[in-house]
Amino acid sequence: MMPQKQREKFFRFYLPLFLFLVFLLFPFYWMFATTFKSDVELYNLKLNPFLIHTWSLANLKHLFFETRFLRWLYNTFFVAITSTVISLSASLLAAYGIQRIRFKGSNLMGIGIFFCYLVPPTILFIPLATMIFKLHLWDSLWALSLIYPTFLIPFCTWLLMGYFNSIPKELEECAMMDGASRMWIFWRVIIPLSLPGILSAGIFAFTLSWNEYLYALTFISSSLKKTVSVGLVTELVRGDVYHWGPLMAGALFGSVPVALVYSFFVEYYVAGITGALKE
Amino acid sequence: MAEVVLKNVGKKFGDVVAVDDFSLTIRHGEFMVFVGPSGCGKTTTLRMIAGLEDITSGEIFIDDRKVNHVPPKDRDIAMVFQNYALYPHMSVYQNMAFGLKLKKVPKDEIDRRVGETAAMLGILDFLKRKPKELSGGQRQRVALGRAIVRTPKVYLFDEPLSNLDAKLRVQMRLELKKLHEQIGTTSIYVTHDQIEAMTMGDRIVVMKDGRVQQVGEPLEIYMHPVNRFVAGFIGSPTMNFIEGVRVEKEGEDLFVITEGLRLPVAAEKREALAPYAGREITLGVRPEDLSETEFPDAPGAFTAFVEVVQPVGNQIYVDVRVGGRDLLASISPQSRVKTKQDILLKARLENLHFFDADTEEAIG
Amino acid sequence: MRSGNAGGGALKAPPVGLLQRKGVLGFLFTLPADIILLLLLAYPFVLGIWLSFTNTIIGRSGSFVGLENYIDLFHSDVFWLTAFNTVLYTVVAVFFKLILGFGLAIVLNKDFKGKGLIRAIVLLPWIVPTALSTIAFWWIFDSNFSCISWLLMHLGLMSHPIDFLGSPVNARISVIIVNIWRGIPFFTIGLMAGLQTINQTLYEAADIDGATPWVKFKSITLPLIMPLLAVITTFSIIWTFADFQLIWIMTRGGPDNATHIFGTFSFQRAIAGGHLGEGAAISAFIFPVLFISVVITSKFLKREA
Repeated sequence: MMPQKQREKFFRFYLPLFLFLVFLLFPFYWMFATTFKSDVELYNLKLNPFLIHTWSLANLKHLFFETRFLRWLYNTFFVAITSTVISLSASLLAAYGIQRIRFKGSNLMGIGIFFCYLVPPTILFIPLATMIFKLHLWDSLWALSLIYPTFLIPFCTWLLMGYFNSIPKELEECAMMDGASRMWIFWRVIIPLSLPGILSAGIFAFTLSWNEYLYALTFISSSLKKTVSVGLVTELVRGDVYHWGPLMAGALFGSVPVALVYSFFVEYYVAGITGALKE
Repeated sequence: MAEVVLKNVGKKFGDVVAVDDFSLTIRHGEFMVFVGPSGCGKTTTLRMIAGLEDITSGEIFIDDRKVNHVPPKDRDIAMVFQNYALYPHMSVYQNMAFGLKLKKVPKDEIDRRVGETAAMLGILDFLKRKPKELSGGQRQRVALGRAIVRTPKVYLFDEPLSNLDAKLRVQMRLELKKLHEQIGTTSIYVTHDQIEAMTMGDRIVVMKDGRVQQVGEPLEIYMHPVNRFVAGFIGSPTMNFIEGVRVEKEGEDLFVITEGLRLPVAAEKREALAPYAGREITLGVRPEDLSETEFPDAPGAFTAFVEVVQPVGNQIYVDVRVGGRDLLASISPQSRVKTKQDILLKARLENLHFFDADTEEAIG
Repeated sequence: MRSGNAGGGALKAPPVGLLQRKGVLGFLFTLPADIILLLLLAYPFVLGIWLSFTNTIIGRSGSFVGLENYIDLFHSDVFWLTAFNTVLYTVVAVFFKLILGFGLAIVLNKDFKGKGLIRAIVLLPWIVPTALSTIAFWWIFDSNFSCISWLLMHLGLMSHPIDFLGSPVNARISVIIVNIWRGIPFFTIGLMAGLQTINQTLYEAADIDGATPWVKFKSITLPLIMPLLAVITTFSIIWTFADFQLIWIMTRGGPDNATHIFGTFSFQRAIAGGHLGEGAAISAFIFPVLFISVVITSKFLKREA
């Protein structure tokens, strides 16, 4: 029998952790396994589905060559990057204005921007649809690039405000005494010092943008312009036929870019969330 | 009231030895101070007595009962933490009552004890307030109150005054000492401040690198430090150390000699120092044992060059240069000494300290 | 001493440029964000309310019809079912996300080898695009080829595959499970950050006071983490209540409207069905929850300030 302390540790820590990890990670394994199985194996109920019995790249071939997956990947990247750039720029300026240049009503504005984050797309998508149509941006990726900032800006601003808080005021006061203008301080002092915060916000914006579905589904109709999420769901299911193999492959490879970006910058991501929540 | 006995207590964190072979008996009602620089193991030892750290080796007894595996709550102790550890969402009353409530003490008993303790500490008016509404000194009293209300056998203090400003610290030192005289419970107090140790302890334990350097009454340690570390740690301003001092024998007399200094050795130290004749030792002399003199021929007199003069009010600290070395002297405030001049100083010969150059232990 | 006017006329302070004035400059900095949010968030917000009072359909602008859309909805069984579903979905999912997310945060709240890696892994369900992980669950819950069914049948616990998405009760349970799966990381990471801010010596003092682990949790951890927990939960409530993609992808609101929530029902009527006015009216029922969330969050934020 294990000594008491070790037994306690097992039940208090290892077992729960193991169970959680299995629950949280299994779907990813399932994506992976299904991707590399052959169609025949996939629908053969006699085989153990948890193992890959014969590796096959057929699903990948289908996905990359017989669907517009690569095009969708490009579209999603395009939207993610453009909306991130727009959001970061606006957020940086706004966060600095609110946090540092405290003007009348700046507190209120900060709170107002924060609450914008709470407004869900399901309330806005219908009026936005009418607006997009009137602006002739229907079925254009730029519609998404412009609309995504509505939920990216609030969070990024909030995050950056928290980040600016940690930069000592003395640095700016010193520069101001030396005669620098606010703009100069902003460009030459604040931005270089905030690069980690900017990175956090940028990564957050990037992942949030990839995650969006409702607007992408509503505003884009032509196959060539779809994003990965929308394309996979709408085009790899024809009537009652679900092409599970390629679907899983798409899910897997659609997640890869985000996961990659995330894995390189995990520390920043977590720091971003914890920093923002501390606010 | 209890006796606390530590027998060969040791603590290891992985391969790092934090406390090594600590043996000590703390008597009933004694106020024992553990003092030493950061990392010397004093807090670790205290936490082992509290039960917050496991004991790697050795045994600890509280009131003749071995407590190595007894959880903190059953050791009948109370602890005052450096950052007070007051429950921020509870009122002062609730903070003080928490432990008693857990022990299922009846409510009126709790009321009585909290009330008495609060009155004793002067915090009766704050009972309904939350910690964040109180000043540092008031929070400290609440932390004290929380410990007192438990009427434990032993009080443990982990540098409780270090977060207070200087003036408040002096005041609280006094109050703590008065409290101890009033309540009389065995207390173990950890600090890095040697003044606190000297003024508050019945006995002091000086620690360094996890080991006990010396145990004794404050004055005893001050007058007879067993090694160079203790000599330099206790006493403010710090003792002057002069290395490379030669011991020379002239007939019956011994002298310690270095450039600019030729001091006779007092009679009571002769026997211990005799074996070192012809060798080099380290000489220690406290600033307060150097005084200004008019008589250049007096035994122990020497000339020095004044570099800096710092009047402190009740003393004047003079930074002097003798034979290429710097010494600090603490002389009478009436002195007319000026910088960039020579001064005639005299060392109190019976208070000279000698240390072996290699082992750094005191000689004699 | 002579007065300083000897030189003729007191010195005037140089005029402060418009851009130097704090009020103006700060405001200018926030302008880009303000414009985007006003045009694309605030305006549609109001427009949506207006649309719900019209009979607009795709392709033709509508006219004011007062409460007609709302009255029609109140007479619709599907609508009431949707309302019920939304509340059920939100309450159950948030409840479990809270419990499990908090539990995981407590388990992870100690230092151990590989903590950073585990923490990063734990966040994956939140990071990965929801649509994609939902597709994976779609396959896991397939009525014929589900691996879960296979496992249960293989172990002899079941005799035929589970129809995860085909019966109303099962479908509801399935979508709730997926929502929980996706939402746990948010609670965990947020609460982990909160747990870190609690001073460890408080627990040591409690140890000496004689507190059991449960007492420590109840008397120290819970009260101190409550503000953060309230904010996180409020966020989760509004997002779950206003969810769309998870349910739309897995069930389209079926079977028999058993999993329709306001978001999916609104989409179905407005975009698939073309009745924009009606869809806007349905979406409007998300407002109350949004409003309450804002009130609760601001109460806790003010307390911190």
